[in-house]
Amino acid sequence: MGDSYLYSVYIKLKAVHKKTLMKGAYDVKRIKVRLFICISILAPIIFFLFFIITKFESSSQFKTIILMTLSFLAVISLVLTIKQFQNLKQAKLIIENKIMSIQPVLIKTQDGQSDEQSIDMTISCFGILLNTKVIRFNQGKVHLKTVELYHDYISITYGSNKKENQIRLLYKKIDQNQINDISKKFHFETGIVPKILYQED
Amino acid sequence: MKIIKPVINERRLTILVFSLFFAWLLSIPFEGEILYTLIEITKISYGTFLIFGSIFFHFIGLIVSSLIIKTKSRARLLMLISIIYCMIATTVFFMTPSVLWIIAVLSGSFLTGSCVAGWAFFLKNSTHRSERIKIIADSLIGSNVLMILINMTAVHVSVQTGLIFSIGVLILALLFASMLPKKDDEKKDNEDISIPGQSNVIKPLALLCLFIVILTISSGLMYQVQGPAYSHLRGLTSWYWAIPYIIALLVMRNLPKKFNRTYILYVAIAMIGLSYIAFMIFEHNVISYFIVNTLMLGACGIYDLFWWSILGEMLDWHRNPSRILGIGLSSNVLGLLVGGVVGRIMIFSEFHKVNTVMVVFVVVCISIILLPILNKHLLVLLNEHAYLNKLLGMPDDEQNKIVKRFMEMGHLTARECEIASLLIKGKTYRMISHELSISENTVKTHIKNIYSKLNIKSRSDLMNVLISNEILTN
Repeated sequence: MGDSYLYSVYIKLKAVHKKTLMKGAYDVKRIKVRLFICISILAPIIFFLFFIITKFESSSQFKTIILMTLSFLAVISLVLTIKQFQNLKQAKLIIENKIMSIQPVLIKTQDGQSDEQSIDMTISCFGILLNTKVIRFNQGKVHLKTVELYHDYISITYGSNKKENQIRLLYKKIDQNQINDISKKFHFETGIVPKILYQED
Repeated sequence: MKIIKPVINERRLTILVFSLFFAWLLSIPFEGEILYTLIEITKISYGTFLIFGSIFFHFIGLIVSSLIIKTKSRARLLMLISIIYCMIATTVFFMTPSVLWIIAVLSGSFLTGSCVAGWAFFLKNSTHRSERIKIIADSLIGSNVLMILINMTAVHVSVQTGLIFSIGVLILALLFASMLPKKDDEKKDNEDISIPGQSNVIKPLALLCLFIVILTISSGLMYQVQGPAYSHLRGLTSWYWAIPYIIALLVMRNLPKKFNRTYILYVAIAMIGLSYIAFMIFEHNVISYFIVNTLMLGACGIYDLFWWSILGEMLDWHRNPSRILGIGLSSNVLGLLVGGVVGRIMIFSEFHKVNTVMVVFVVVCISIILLPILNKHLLVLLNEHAYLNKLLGMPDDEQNKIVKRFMEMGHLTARECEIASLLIKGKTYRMISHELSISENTVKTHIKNIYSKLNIKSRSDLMNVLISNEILTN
């Protein structure tokens, strides 16, 4: 964890995103691929659904079962498509409003186990993008609450009035000027003044 | 003339000229009773062409004149020329039907466009915009009363007497039009006047035009479907036809200023629906005519004054008022034309096999479903424009101070402040995104956050809160 060339993500406290972060690594292109796959599944299902409804007039039990199954599959694939579409929209929003980005990242958990899968990470005023995984804040009821900047990691607290999450993102050791720049960007974009807790080695 | 002038001020002259000229327009070229009667008596084969051609040429006339009339003096001159021409054109109907009839109707209809569009200059100058609704209502009432008198003369005496009456009306219109002031009192016509928020006229005007088109399509259909059904009651229709319309105008005119006219609009929507139901259920006799016509024309009166009054207020938004009025009225004519043509096609084509009235009813239902939505958007845009004018009327320093002070109170971030200050200056999302070099999606998300923080829903709410906050602070 102390390795200066090893970027890592460290999840702390009520880490609801722990599992998702552990699974790791995708990028916007991958979200697009996922979206494409979802649409590719949805389209033929809907086609068959209409085909069966319009072409087969008999009201047999077999037809009913097929219709129900296809409807169920259509609903599921529609939900997945919408979810992927939203993810893509969010990912684009985060990339467009990037405050800092780190690549590649090695994920490490609190219990010391590490997942040595390299991922890209982008932090913006609207959330964090860990490939296809999106952590949203400053949208809706979830707000960014505090930001702490250290020389080799950044700690971000966000959440609603009821629930709070904290995330620690470890990065390559950076100098004071870069930290100041990041701090200014955070202040301008989010209104939060980051605490700079920089310690020289 | 010197005796009349002090008694008749510009406001009264404006009403008189419009009432007289519009009465002629409604009696002859614009689906007028006289034109219909002439077509029926002479049994000319090109009657339908004359009716729709006159509407189409009136539409073109409005569009062209809204583009060419740029000064008040030119508007006055065109008004005088078109009134004289219309007098000459009316005399053609005393002759036997010939190609002259077509030329007279089409060219007259074209020129009436310039007269109506040019009237905008006098409507704008004669009163404050809050009082324009009364001038418009008075003018519409006057023109409809005169139209009823001309129609009754044509039906109960003779068409020729009706034509003479209409020429007399035009002579009076010419007399009063010649008394209209030639130049602006305050500013020179060709002076480059900077009107705040002028670039934002297009969106509300386009929405209003859409609103008017949808609204008048049902009127156009009404002419084609309901009109023939009651053609056997000509004695009654000649005078009662426009009475509910006039009463509705009178009611709307005298409503207190604080009264929310939108509620009346919803009542009018229900009236249109009920009139069609009554038309389908009842037999087409005198009683049903009273019910159907009262509901339909009453609703038309409410609608017409509603959009006319908005157009009247919009005249201040552009340095050339005839452009606003010309375009606005052309959308009304377009709606009538589309509705009329659709109605005619349905009656005389294979669609006739389907129940025409039912089809019309569906079209009207769709139109009236769309109207409240359009009305809502229109009101938001109008509010935005009103607030925008107020804000942009202030000096830049004062504007920035107000925005800054307000943003501090609203706990907005520096980025949100930047976006909010551009937003209240009337910039579109695209303009903001270009100016700040961020994506439109980012602008939308920031604006959503701003609205959420301030607990508001629209740009007009933001401007309203901003102005109210400043008043409270001071």
